[in-house]
Amino acid sequence: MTLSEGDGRPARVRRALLIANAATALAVSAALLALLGLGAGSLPALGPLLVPGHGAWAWQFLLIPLGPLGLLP
Amino acid sequence: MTAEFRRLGKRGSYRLGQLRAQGVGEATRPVPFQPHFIRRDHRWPAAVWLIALLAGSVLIAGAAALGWWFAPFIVGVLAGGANWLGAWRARIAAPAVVVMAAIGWGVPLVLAELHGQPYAAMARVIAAIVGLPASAVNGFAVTLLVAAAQAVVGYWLGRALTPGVCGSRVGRPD
Repeated sequence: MTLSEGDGRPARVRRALLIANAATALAVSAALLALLGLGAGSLPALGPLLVPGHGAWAWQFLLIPLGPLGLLP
Repeated sequence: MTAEFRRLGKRGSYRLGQLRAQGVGEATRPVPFQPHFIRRDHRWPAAVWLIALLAGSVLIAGAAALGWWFAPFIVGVLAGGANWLGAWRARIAAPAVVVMAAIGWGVPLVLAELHGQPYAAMARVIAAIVGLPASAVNGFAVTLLVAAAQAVVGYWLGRALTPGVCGSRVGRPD
């Protein structure tokens, strides 16, 4: 992941690759956080939904009728 | 071949035991072997980094108790920045970050299940919500996957924002 001195590439190419790597990491991070925080299409926001102790893991979530859904053991 | 044959035994026809090249480009000389030290795997004892990973797991678990779902990403960024000091190779550090995030979100779930909360049933519900078969394993797996994905991407970002430092200070890059 990391490019640094002595990797055999010219300094200009190395710098361009470093910038591209950082830009790609920033873009992927933003996309992942947006996907997890906001959801997309039919996919719910998995971040707030799945954090332990909150969201779907909270006790209150079991108040919805699960029996008809066949989800209870 | 005939011309070279006539040079046999003549003065100046040989160089280090070979026929002198005349009118023919010399073959590139072999690069002399230069031994060098390989890069150290990391700095500081491994126990220090294990404690740091454990502290990261505690941070993630504590933040989860507050509802901060993005904590694995933040801790991953910090881990990537900490690699500026640690100089761990990515193939070692990235799995370690995944384990750290999985522990941070997995231990609270396991503890809650051990304390009698019906988290297995909740996991089945979560799997169904996400669109997977309603299995407790799927529910737990998708939860840990969300934490691990955040941590890995955060680690990548933290490492990308501190480029070149690990390799240039310690030795060869990854």
